[in-house]
Amino acid sequence: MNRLWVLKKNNAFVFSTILLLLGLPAIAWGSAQDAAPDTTPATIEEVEVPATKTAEKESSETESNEADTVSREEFDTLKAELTELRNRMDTAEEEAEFEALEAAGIGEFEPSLNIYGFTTVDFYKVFVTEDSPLAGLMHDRSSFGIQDLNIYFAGQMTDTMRVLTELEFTFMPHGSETDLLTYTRIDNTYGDLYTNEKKTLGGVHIVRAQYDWKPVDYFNVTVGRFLTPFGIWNNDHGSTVVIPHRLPFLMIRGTIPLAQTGLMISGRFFPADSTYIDYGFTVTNGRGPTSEIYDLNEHKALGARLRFEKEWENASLALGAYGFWSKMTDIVKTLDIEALEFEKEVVEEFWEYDIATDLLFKFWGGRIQAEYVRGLIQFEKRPPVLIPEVNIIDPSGGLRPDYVKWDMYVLGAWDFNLDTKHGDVVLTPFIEYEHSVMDDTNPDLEVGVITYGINLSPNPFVVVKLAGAHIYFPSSISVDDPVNTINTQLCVAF
Amino acid sequence: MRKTILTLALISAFWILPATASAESPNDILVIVNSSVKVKAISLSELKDLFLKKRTSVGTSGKVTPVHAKSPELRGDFRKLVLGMSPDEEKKYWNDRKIQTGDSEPVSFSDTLRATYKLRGAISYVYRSDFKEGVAKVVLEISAE
Repeated sequence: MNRLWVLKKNNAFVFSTILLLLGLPAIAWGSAQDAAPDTTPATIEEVEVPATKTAEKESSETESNEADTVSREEFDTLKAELTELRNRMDTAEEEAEFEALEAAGIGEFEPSLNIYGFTTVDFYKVFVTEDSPLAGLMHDRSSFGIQDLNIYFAGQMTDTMRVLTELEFTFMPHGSETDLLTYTRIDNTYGDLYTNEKKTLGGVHIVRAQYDWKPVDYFNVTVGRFLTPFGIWNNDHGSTVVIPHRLPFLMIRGTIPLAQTGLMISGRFFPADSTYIDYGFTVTNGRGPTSEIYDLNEHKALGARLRFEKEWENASLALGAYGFWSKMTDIVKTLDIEALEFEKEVVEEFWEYDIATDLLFKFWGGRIQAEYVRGLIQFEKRPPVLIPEVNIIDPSGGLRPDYVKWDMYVLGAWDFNLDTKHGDVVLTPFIEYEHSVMDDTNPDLEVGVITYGINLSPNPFVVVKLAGAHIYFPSSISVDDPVNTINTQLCVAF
Repeated sequence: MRKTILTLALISAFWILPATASAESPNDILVIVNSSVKVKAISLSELKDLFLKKRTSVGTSGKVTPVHAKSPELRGDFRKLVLGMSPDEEKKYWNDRKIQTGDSEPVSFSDTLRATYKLRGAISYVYRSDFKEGVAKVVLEISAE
């Protein structure tokens, strides 16, 4: 082999390898240079004063430059002190936050008390035929009203203990018609004792007042007055959350008690990513005329909740159920003055067995939800039959038989996200069908409702609703004609 | 032959450059925890659940307290990459959550690295460029891309 050729060939190989090895850092160095910060002065302070001078101005400029130099130094010193002061203030503020949290001995950052709520103002009109008995029961003149003013107080005492109170402020009982036979309407308007200004007094409804201890996700203890863990909108009942202008009939009619006073054990498990299994057990006073504050029998109501939820990127599915078993007792007391003894008489008593199921399917902007509740009432002490809605004893006599009650609704809705010059706006058209049988032995208590409407949410805190409802009574003996309503609402979360 | 070797050398340069270039970006988000949090790694789903308060612990970590960043840029990247929400969707989520359970949005700090170092049970996030070794433990890295 030609030695010169081999030498040339080897040199070429070595040369190309050297080229390769040099090329790598060279290219990297070039990239670094490209990424090197721009050294163009960004502020006026960084611009160097030009050194060009004329002979005529040299002396005065010398003096002037010295003055500029002095003032420049002072300026730079002041600027540095200001920057350091700002940094110290930011640090001091955060140090104070850290010290406060460390002094409390907790790793929690949440404030000790949060106050927030929601409110609803509406305008509605009910269309009912004049000769219908409902014309006297429903307020059929167009009206403005305040439907909700709910205030929450959420106090976090430690990282595991919390108090949550929800109060609903209402104008009730002002305006309530308590006796339709002799017609009595409550008027809570009084003159101020000092100024005689007319003032209307309302009331406060304690929706919930619960104390939570949550040491771990799978075991939580709640005591007090809490919302029954069933359905979709019982716990999540804010007017900015509920899509139609009112809650479903199964909630309004209390097919299952919406709240209970007692004890609840609950928790959550995570069998897989974005998969949740919730459980709950309730032991409470159950349902009764005084169940909010005391029980009239020794039997405590029992309840059990199970819920499964799975989330995907653009969809989620939740299925839940709640079972409720309770004994309701109502008594009256009579005082024997001579013997100084009270005699208690049971005027009504029944066993109640309820089951509630719920489904919520979300997909992109769409939503389909449904609930079904069914209950059995078995009397041990039967009360007299009452005329529905007016709650007057039916003069035809008779005692209430055992009965079955059931309620269901299905709702479909879609969120359209619109990008407007005022920001993101969400438009939600919806339609809902409900069917409610409060007592299967009384056909007047069966009702069907079709609700339709559109909601506009200009920001996360406000929802404007426009809805219509068609209410009909498929089996009623007393009511022939349907009722129609139009409702507009402004719902605000604050 | 010479041409072949030179060509091969040049081609090699183009192949090697991308291979040796770093896959890490200074804008990657590092999820960090306080030393009291006994967990080595968490998933994106678990992280999302913690910051939406759907859970308060992961495995044997004990109670974990989420801390958001005050920096709009970092918070926005976290919201997009982890929570998958727009700012308005996040606000609406917390409005609804407060009414349903009483839970409030996690607190925010400017210096999340320092907050995580100082506060027991904290979990937070920083940009890779702001992270300092030894201050907090990294349990998840989220690519900026």
